[in-house]
Amino acid sequence: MRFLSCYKILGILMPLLLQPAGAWAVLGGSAATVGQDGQSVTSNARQLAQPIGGIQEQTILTAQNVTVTEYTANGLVFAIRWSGPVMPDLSVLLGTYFPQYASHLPVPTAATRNKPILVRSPGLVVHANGHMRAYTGSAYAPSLVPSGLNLNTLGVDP
Amino acid sequence: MIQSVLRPPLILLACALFLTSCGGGGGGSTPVTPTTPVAANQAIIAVEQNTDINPVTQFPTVNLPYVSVKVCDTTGRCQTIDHVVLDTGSYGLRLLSSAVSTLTMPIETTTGGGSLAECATFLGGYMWGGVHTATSIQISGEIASNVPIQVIADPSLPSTAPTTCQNTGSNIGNLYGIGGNGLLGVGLFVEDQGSYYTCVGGPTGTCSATVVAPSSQVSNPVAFFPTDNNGVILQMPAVPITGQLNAFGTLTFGVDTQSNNTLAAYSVLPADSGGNFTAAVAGQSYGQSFLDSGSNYSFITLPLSTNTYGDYAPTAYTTYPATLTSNVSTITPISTSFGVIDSAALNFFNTAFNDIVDPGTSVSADFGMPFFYGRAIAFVISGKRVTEGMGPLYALH
Repeated sequence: MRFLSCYKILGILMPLLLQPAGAWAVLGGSAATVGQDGQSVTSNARQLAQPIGGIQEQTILTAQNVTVTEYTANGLVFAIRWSGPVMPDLSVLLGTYFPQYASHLPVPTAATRNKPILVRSPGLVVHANGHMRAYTGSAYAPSLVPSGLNLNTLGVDP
Repeated sequence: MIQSVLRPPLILLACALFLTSCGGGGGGSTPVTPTTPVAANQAIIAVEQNTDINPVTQFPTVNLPYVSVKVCDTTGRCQTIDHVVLDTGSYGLRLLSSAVSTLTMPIETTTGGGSLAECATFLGGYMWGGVHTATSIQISGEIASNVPIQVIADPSLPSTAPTTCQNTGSNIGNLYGIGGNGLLGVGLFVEDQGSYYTCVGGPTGTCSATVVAPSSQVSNPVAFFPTDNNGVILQMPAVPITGQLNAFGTLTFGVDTQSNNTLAAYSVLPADSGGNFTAAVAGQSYGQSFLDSGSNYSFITLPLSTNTYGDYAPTAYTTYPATLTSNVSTITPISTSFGVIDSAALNFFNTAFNDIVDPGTSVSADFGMPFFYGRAIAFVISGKRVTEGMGPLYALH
């Protein structure tokens, strides 16, 4: 009985112990997903847990001083938003959705300059705007968004 | 976007086949030349086709405000670089290495002895290059000394940016990505707060992310002038709603420092710590709005449909009122307006347009170069004082 208790306690603690200080989730990943590029998160990352109607909110500060807020429902990150002085490494934020994002980017010519990023595909929606020292953006996976949720209430551009 | 890129060259190609018709109503409007004599604290802003860029096979340089910048090196050698894009939405001078190849400008070193490099990020993509010290930067009669600038496509660094930089967007660190030989960021702040790297091993070496002090960051040269260093005023002439072949305006250095840069007749708009204000347009409010000469169109969400090029397409030229309110001050909001026209009807032999608007996002209205025609707009640098208050602030006339 005592033996089992120890295992129970370990079972609760181990996931927490194994999670490094910079652990965070990516779009479509589980809440405990570790970022694919841990270098982007430093030990000064801060985590806030705030339930909003069953939705978990977690805020992280990256090494580039970009504040990233992730929204989790049903164990998966369904939306993120960011704000910071530079454009973030979107492969870290979008995870497995990054190739989909990259394929929708306009061709690299600057006939239109400083155009906001507006990617709207069935599997992924991304918005980004701003200028040097003041970029903001958001992304969500429509299939993962809880039904009836108004993304605007989370500060995520629908 | 792709159509938007292809459309003007096709029009130009059609015109090129019938050159005579382009001299009249079928082509751009009659060219204008700069006539206003400029003072020692003033430079000419030229919106024109950059002839280094072939408008038929590449793209017309629409609404790109160009200035010339003279850069001198440690040996006293100087080079004047033409067609540098004047950008009030960024901070610091960035030049293509090909434009400064004759100059000797030492690269900054990091505490570990590496070379300091930067990934400068923009919405359209990134510019990768080294941070070098320009002995002097001269624009008109103003001289800034020992300014950290970015040399894009720096041959002393790995030519490929680190993966974390590439994942922020496309590589726009070239003539076509910039639309010119460089970018002159003269906005509301001094340092660029970019993503910095320390590199070892030269062109075949490696780079890793680093943090640098503000004094080592690529910085707005205006703040380095001995006088007239608290900001700039961009003044552009009005242009017809169907556009103009080219347009020449004035860049004035200093605000409230000389008789030619007082804000007496201006409306002041203090900006927040990001350089933004709130714009109310068509019943919606956008809290992260800004004035940006580096945006060649305006990007403001409107209740209009778009044409096949992605630009708003009202059935006739339409004017939208806009109210600009400070996020940090109770000062009286500014009531202004801007025009919108269906770009499909425009002749892209012209390069100066005051009414091309594309969709923005739900939080930001970007008043780009179209908004600057027929106005004078002042940009007072953060922490710098003018009679009307302390930067960061905008002032409109």
